[in-house]
Amino acid sequence: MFMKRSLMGIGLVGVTMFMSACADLGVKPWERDTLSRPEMALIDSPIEAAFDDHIYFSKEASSGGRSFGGGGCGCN
Amino acid sequence: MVIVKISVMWSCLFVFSSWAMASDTASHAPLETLNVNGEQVDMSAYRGRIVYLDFWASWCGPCRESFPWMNKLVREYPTNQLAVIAINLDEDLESANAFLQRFPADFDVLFDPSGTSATQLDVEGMPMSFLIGADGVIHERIVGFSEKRAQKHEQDIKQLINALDRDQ
Repeated sequence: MFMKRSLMGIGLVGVTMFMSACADLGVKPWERDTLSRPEMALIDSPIEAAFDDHIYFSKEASSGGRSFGGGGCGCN
Repeated sequence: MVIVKISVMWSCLFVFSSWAMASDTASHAPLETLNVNGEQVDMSAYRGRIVYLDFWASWCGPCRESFPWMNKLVREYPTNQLAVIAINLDEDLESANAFLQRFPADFDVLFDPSGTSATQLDVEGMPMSFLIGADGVIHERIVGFSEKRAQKHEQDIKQLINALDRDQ
């Protein structure tokens, strides 16, 4: 019983630490201009992505979300 | 019983993590020096004056609005009462200089491409400003800029300057 509980405790601490590790990826607010550059986007084909974006924009009226934009203050 | 223990543990972890995040931002000690790109800037030289310390970058939209406002501050308040210092955090100086040509600054601009000063003061967004009192203690941490909020900040600056006049 004790063994089971301590294992559970260790597991919980592990999960928490694992989750908090994603909270800070090390990009500072003043470095976000580099992060928002087109070459930093997670796409392998910019032309295909541009076509896709056009389809989303014109047929779904949705856009954005592929890369990072803005300065982190929530005001631009 | 197990559920209670788990929830207590989770809340302990949550409280601890939020405490750990908050502890490095709350500081009541006067700002002595500021490490700007590896060089120590003596902030104690500004004692007796209110300092509006602004961190900006050329790619930041609200920074464009904040420059005319900071120029206005420089025009309205004498330099022995208020000092406006802007620290640029661009990695390349060229874009910073291009920005300054479009939006001229009537105040001191320092360049910190390595961002050491921003790390020291734990800058959370762009732009971010610090209102520092005559005693060198950070009075207010202002993240972002908008005309509407700027009016409130100017009131705060006025209040600090009035307190300065009373002391003298």
